[in-house]
Amino acid sequence: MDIRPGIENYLLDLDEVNTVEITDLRLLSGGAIQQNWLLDITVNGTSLETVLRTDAVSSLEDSLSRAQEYVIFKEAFSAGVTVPEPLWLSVDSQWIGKPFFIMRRVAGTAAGHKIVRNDAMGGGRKVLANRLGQELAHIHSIKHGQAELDFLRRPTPTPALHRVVEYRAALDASDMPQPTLEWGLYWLEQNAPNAVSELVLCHNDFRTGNYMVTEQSLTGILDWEFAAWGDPLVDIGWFCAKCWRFGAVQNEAGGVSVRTDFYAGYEAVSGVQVDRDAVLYWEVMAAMRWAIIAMKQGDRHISGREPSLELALTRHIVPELEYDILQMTQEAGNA
Amino acid sequence: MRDNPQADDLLQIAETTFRQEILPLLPTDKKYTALMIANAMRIAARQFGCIESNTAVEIAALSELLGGPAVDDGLGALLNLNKQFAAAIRSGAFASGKDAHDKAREHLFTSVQNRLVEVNPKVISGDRNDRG
Repeated sequence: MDIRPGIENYLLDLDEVNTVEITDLRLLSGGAIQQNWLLDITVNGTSLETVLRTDAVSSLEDSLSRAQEYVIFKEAFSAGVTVPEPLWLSVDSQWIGKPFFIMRRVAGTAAGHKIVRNDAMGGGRKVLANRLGQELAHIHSIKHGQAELDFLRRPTPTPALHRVVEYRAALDASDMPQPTLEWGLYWLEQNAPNAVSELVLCHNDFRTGNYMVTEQSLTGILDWEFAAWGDPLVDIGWFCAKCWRFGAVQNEAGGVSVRTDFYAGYEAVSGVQVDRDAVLYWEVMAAMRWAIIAMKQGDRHISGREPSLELALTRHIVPELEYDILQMTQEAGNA
Repeated sequence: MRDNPQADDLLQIAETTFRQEILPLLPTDKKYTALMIANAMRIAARQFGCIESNTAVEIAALSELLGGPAVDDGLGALLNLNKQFAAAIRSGAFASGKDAHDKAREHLFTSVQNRLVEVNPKVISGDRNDRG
């Protein structure tokens, strides 16, 4: 489907827009859940470099709608988080067949394997890790109770046990037994932390690969479709988890730098000391979550619903995550 | 009896030829897909070489852990034993402090390592693959 006429008509329908010219429109690679289009437009004579974000063919049941994601972009932008500025939202499917939003395009790369290999990215490893810690603290400054974000999921009975229940249900829905994942879930259940005193906005996919960065600086935090209320340590554990270091395992803060650089940025903005030991729990949870997602993605291929080499190969990431889970739970004890 | 070369050998030589002769000719936007194809062929080749021996060993180990007689009727038995094992873990039968706790963990490590030998041996050797 050619979405060009639909985008033009949508923009012309806005009160503030008199003339529109699309000068470039290309589908960007990546994005199994969302589609991102590079969109260069001239609106009322002014050139704008933007990205149009809409749903891909497949969607995950627990991901947010584009309209909800747009609201989060707005709230995050207001809270001082570095995100691409959201410009327009269409909840109506009449224009391009599905809802979409348009945001300003930011410079840089999000390619994890390139970022972790380049010492100069984001102003240098130390600076980048510190900045990412600061960004995360800004995200967590948005506290539960904000009316605009009423639609976000609130985990019950606690952020940890909510996930244990959810992941066990995912295992039950799959044909293949997963003893190692059961082992991890048992440990996660037995060692679950208490509920936090205050739920915060968790990005829930805050990791290398989901931010844009140039050699000068970080330019934008992306991919907010899993955002929900939760325990702030969820994001810290996900960011530091071995599975998101893109092979640079020695740099425990997202493959970028040492943890202390990342924690220092977080602590400086939030005023909250990161509980080093408690983060380990959420790293086990991170490996578990990625394993469950990989398993579900593999099942989409195996069932014949969506034959895909990428989905098929993603299923084979699971043993590596199982290995991490076994190692971490052994290290922590109490399994 | 089949003639040689068989599945694992054929896949290996197909992958090598693909990487050496086809991959360098492809445009940049097709390289990721091409690498996935090569990776899938490599995993399949390794699996052809491993499957028989691992199945029998895993059945014996699980039977011992679950306290039942070793039944050797292949993949169906293995699936059932793994289902029982998974349910027992969830129920707490192998919790910390129980007799079979360490043995169960050892079995899980072995099982995971056997699968990693097929899909990503670098994890065990400590030299991880890129991913993303």
